[in-house]
Amino acid sequence: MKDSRIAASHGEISNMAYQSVSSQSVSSLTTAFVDIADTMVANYDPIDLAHRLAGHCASLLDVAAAGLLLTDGQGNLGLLASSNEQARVVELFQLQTERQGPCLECFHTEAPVTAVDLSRWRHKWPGFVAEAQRQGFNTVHALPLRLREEIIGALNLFRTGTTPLSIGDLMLGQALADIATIAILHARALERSETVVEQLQGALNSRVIIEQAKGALSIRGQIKVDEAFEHLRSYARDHNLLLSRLARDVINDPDLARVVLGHPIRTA
Amino acid sequence: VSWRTHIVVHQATGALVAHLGISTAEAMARLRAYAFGNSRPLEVVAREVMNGESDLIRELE
Repeated sequence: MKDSRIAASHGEISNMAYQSVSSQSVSSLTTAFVDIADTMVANYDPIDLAHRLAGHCASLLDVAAAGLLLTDGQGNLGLLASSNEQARVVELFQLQTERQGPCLECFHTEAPVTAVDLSRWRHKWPGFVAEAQRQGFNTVHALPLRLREEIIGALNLFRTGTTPLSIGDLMLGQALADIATIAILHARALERSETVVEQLQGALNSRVIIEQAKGALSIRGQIKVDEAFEHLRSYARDHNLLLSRLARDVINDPDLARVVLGHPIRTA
Repeated sequence: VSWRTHIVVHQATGALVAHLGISTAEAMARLRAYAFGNSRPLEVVAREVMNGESDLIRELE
């Protein structure tokens, strides 16, 4: 099978990107960058920013779902944020951290991976392809999150169709991945003088706490975990709270949990 | 904590904290002990907690 990794000269890419991005809605791009810049000003939460970025990827690029996977600096990958917190989608991202898939390959080869028409990739990643197709995804891109010469994770993009993203969308995706890398590491570096590995593990720990909070809220409110997450995120935004701090507090505070569950979900 | 642990295990940990008013460390330990004691995969037990299987939750008290 032909390896469809992206290979084009830089000039070629810039030209194609120019044509493609110019047709992109400028106002939605502006909105996304203003939102990201707003978030990165002071005391911000890398995991909240990662979620926003995943959401922007899904709305700006022609993809159905986007996820950010991060290394712990010891060879393992963990899911940091996803544009869609439905349990099945989250598990599809996580499956790749454990066994196989384009994201794991991107991480190991340190290069973008494009898998167009997943049915042709079944021999390579049988478990991943079966589950992705069951969920209606047929094309996958994985773009590296790079810190200088090092790769610290991957941005995973799922499409329903059997065609690749345009070069312009891929470049924009890579730009969003680069912002994510800077944002995730910079936030923690500012706060504490941590090593890169400590920063990575700190970000992944926040994700664990958010999962615990989702579990606690979902059981208390008798709602699905993705809905629990939306309540949590909406409450944090409307009260200017750090998502990871609120998550930690809500796990064993029944009164706070009640308030968060009663808070309306923001759609924006 | 480990980010290699399946997320449903983390969710079930939070759910047990909410149900039983115990710490996250204690909740995780009870899940692991129950799974080990019954020779069942941790993920499967966690999924049952998240599905609100009340008999299981009572046993974890």
